[in-house]
Amino acid sequence: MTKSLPRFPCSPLVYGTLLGLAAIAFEFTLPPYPRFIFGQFAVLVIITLGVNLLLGVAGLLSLASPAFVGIGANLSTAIMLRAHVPILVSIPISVIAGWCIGWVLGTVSLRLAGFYLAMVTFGFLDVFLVILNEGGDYTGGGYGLIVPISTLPIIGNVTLDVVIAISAFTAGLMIVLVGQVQRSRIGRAWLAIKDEPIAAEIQGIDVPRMKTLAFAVSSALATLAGTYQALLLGVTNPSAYSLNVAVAHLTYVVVGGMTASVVGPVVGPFILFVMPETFRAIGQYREVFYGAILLLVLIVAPNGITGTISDLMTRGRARLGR
Amino acid sequence: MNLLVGGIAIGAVYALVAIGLTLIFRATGVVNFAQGEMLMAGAYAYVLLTQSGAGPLVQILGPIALGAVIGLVFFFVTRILLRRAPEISIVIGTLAISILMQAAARLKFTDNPMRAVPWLFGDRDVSLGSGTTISINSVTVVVVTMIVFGALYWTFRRTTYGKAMRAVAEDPVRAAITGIPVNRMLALSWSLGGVVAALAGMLLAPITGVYPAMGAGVLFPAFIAAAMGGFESVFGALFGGIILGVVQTYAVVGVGGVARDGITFALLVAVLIWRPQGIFSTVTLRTH
Repeated sequence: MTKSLPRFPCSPLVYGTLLGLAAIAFEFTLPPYPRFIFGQFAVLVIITLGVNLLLGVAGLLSLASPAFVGIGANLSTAIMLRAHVPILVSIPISVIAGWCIGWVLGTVSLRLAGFYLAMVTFGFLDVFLVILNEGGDYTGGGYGLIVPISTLPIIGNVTLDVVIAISAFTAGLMIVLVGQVQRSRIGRAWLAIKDEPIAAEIQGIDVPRMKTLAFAVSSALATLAGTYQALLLGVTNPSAYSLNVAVAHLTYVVVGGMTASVVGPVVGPFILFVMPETFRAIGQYREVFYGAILLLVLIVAPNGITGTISDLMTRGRARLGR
Repeated sequence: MNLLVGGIAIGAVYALVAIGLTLIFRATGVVNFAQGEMLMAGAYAYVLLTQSGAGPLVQILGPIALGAVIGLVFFFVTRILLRRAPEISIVIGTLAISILMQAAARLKFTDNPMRAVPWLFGDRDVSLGSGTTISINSVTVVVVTMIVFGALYWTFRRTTYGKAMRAVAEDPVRAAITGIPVNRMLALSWSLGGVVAALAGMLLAPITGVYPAMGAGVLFPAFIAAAMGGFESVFGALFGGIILGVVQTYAVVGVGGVARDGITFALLVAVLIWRPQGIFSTVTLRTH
């Protein structure tokens, strides 16, 4: 956009806060059940933003997104149960832990070809699920943990409405912040690594380090979403972090379009989670549904829905002779 | 003794899956996340054929033929339907197929494992004298794996087709210039990968039973075995698999079943840090 709008001297933090507040306002126009769906949707948007940052922007495939969601959910709940601290303490600790684990995993696997990350994260997810099921009192074994009721200053008890509001606000804020990061020096470095790794290196980009950073950021986002998910559902469910969930996350990203965009990560979960959930359409065919959609979109519309629509618009404009 | 042979047998199954992964990756550059589901399909075919009372030759050739056909389907999807897609999309595509196959098996056969009769000799122990016995099924598994490895090795070194496949793996453009039908060779690589996976399924079926997630459980050890060969060396995949099988078996006995996955994962990390180009590989590493 060369003839851009006059730039307001506002930081992205202000825009993000405004979008977050708008999301909260929208929440309270909804009846109870759609409101709950909206909360889950907000959590999925945060996860998908992270997965898209890794897959769509940096061009790296990870299968550990459910593991990090699980780490967020279990760690924050365990901290709350054991140390009797409020979510204001447990959530930041969990997110930092998620970031660190992501950094270590990335350091090990990302010196090599990109597909090694997919393999290592595949195994990591396996190990995480074993730990979860065998962790005894710390993870609740195969049954999961029940999330205690927490309090926040000023607001008081963290009810379901409050959790949904926090999730919605964070999702709004993250949409703007992640968009900002994608346009920043770091985001452009990620895109360069995805498209032209050798050229990127010649430009002086520390390729392994930037890849590791992308994975750490993506992991931290998934962990954050996981802490919200536990509060939202009231329990940590060990069967909610399987490989099928990773495929669902990938499907959101691929359907949204694997590009440096923040529209895709909103559109993907909306079409694939909110709409089927509203119509209660899939049931036991959920895995088949996600697998089939994923394959179909890869074949028919490799740029995802947003990419295809913008392609069509460009072509339409060309036909109109503009 | 039985422990060691059992470990080698499980390792041989890992090795077969890893050899399939290596064959496909070397030829096409695709890490096939559905290799375990190819195995699962072969195992189901074997069980259904034995239950239907087909002749022994049909029991053996049926799953192998199915493996070849599934390999061709994968070739069609990855090379024809996804021909313009970047590598990462093709890998995601194999992941999608793996989930689809697993979900389909679950809808058709449910999660309950089906029992399978071991191949040819049944399930009995053979005495070696002085009180030691070994399971004849384990021996069958190891022998079949060795035969497959030998056959592949001979094919790649001695036959025109094998040499052509290696040439395509090295450099598809120059291979095409010399008149090698590249697509046909890639199709052959995929179906070879499918055949090897189906064989692994038939061998694994009597050991673990047949269930939809059986292949997914083998995939990660097979990845590690393939990584030990740097995704280049069939020999490395074979030895990587066997070493891993033995280590896992002794880990389960020594430390307990819970530690198995942790030790497996630690082994992968160790390999990646110590020799990322593969333990049994002489090629220099592509870092990106």
